[in-house]
Amino acid sequence: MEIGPILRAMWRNKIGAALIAVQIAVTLAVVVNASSIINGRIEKISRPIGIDVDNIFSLHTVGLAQEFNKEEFVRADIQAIGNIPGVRSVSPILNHMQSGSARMSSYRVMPEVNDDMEILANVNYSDENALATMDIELLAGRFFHADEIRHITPDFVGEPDKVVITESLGRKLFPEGEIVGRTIYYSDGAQTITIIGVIADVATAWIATDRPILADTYYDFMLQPYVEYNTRVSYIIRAEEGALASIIPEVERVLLEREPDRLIYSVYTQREILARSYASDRATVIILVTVTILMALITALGIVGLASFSVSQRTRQIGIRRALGARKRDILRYFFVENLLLTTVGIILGGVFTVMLSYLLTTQFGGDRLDPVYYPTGVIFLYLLGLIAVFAPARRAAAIPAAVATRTV
Amino acid sequence: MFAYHFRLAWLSVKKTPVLSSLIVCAIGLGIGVCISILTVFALMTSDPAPEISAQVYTYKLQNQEILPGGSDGDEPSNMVGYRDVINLQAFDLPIRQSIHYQSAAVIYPEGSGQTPFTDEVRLANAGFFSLHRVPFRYGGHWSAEEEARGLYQTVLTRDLNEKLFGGNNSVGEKVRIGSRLFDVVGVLDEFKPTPLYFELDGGAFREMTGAILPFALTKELELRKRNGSTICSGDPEGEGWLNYLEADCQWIHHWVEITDAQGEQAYRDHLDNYAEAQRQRGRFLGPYNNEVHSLKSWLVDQRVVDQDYRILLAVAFLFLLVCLLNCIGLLLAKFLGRAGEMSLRRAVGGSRKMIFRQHLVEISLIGLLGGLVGLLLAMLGLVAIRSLYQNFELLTHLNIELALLAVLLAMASTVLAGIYPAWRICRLPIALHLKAQ
Repeated sequence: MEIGPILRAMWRNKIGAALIAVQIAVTLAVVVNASSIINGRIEKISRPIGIDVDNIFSLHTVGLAQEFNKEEFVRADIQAIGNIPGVRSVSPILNHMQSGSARMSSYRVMPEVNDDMEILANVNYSDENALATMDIELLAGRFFHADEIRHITPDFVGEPDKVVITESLGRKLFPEGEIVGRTIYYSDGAQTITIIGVIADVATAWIATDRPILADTYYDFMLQPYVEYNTRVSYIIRAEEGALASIIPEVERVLLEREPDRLIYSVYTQREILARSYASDRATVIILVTVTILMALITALGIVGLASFSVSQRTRQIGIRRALGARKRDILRYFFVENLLLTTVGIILGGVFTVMLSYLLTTQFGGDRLDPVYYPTGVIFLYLLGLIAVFAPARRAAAIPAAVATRTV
Repeated sequence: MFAYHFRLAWLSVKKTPVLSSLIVCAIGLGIGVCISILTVFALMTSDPAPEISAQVYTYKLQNQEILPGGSDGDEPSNMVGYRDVINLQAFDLPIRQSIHYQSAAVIYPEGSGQTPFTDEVRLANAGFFSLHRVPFRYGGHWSAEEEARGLYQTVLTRDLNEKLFGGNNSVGEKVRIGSRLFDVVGVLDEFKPTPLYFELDGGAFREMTGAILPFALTKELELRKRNGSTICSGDPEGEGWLNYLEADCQWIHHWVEITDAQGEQAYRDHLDNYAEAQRQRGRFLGPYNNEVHSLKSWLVDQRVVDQDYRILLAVAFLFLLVCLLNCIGLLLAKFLGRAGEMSLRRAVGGSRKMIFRQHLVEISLIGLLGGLVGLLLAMLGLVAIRSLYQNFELLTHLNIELALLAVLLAMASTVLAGIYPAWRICRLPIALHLKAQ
């Protein structure tokens, strides 16, 4: 192989070659670290939510009349919505699911106040139809009966005597044994709360947060048998498959028909709510992908530039080689080997840069730890990038006729 | 001489249009990405109230018993309960005190045809306006004395005044908020502290909307806090709003302005004394560790800047670095491409200095063009960023300083990238190139 001459030729334009090698190294460091971050975010965004996100929407409403019975208002609304064709199920809810607004409470397995034993949970209120409305599976025990649902005011004090919790929360409270039938305590421990049912995992309201206190609380969710008309009341509605878009305006129309003196607002599909909650993570992914692709393109452009420059500088040499019997593919091979050597130097240097950047990101900027599997992927990517970039100039070089060499002598 | 250099530079740029535009694009792309991300970052980290940031403080009245799992590094509540804020404000060291919280209510426009809507409502004392230097378009705020008399007065944000009165002077008008009528005493001018330091729990980069009502009406209006957090450590003694106000729930924001040199320490002593007095009365059982924060340390403490944004900023600068390395390569190719021409100039008496200067002018011209392209791309980038995030409207406006920085950064970095190629071209062995012709 002609590695010796290639190296000597590169040495003659060492600055140009070094520039490209450093570009490859920086690009590798960014590609590897960005892939790791991007993949982490995609994993985070695609965790199961636990409810039928494609067919659910939620809304807030508030009655404007001076005096009215809030409990009857809610009952009439629920009945009116439930009668709309295309609506599968409807339930009142305290906060839109996974929206970021939440009631957060902590519970203990013993009555004595002990800060270290508090387990945080996301509490939402709903009625006996909540499991059907959200499509949540009941794993053990039972769900609330209609006569257990209580309408409360915001000033209400106390906890219900029965709750339903997710399996994850149950296992956190009681690592072993049955969960159904166990007792938990809230606040001063004066009241006992019985877990009557365990449901499949449902994501909490704070799905997108990275706050340390909420780490590993993704599925710590509890339902309480309450309906609360605070300054407003909220409903969560599940449509028949494919009917979501058409029933949203229909629900609004029916509600206004039932009681014109009201406001309806914050009408969001569950997909919209999730998109809002994850907006920042999604934006990070999109920006990183864009910048990484641009960086790869710029680096490729640099490789094209360097190769073209060297082709134009060496036109006569190439002509002489051709005249002395080198075939076109020898010339092609020369440029490909040159590029592989250059990329290899860049990749070795890039390994160091990758570790440095990863260290910087994790220690200074609180990034996630770098997963080493992305390094080989990045290496393959940059080799391919280099070969693709050098292809056009190399072909141009190979097309140089031997006559060029003789003409100018 | 400069005009001559400049003319030659322009000719040279025109002579190699592809290479020159590649260089300009590389610089422009690097600057565009960098400046759009830097703009958001700069606005995130900007001082929201430079006039007062050195003299306003808030605090964490830290009562360990309050926080479940408070030991694992999470910040305790930045807010204070109703009972505590009433007690704590009775202290004359601060020259101004702002007490406020956010809620929401239905607002009823007077005119026909307009439907009621829900909007933000803030309950704030008179000190809120003076401490935060809230600017007024019309009228002014209520006095402490008026507030104490329990008058139903309101100050409208510019946004609400626009909705209700078409932006006209509405002082003296009445507005129905919730179930009560309020007299408009003032309308705010544009007021967009970024970040919204005094109310971070509702989101740091929002604009205030809606109406502001006197804090003294808290007991009467029974407006619960909304769009923010409330942390309760125990249940109220009984049902009803008044019991809720007495309960160990924290939701009110309290800021104090202290110009005294030892003020921060004195205020901390005040908090400690209060906590100790409460402990003797059977509250605040755990150990307390009260913190006083200046505005600056508060923003750091609350991690207003998204960690992701630091990562994106680092990546953006690495991107600029790659663009510049690329430019060096391209400039080398461009300059060495006319080695023959330069050798000739040298041979007929052009000095190295002269040729170096010539190239510097050319590089600066390319940098300037790159900066302009970068500025354009930065604006596009900011539009894209705004569409990606919720509530980034306040953070995605390129200001004059950053626009200038974009152009300067482009020129400075291009010159930096161009020094080596320019130096190379001056050092050419001219005889060799002349012979080859």
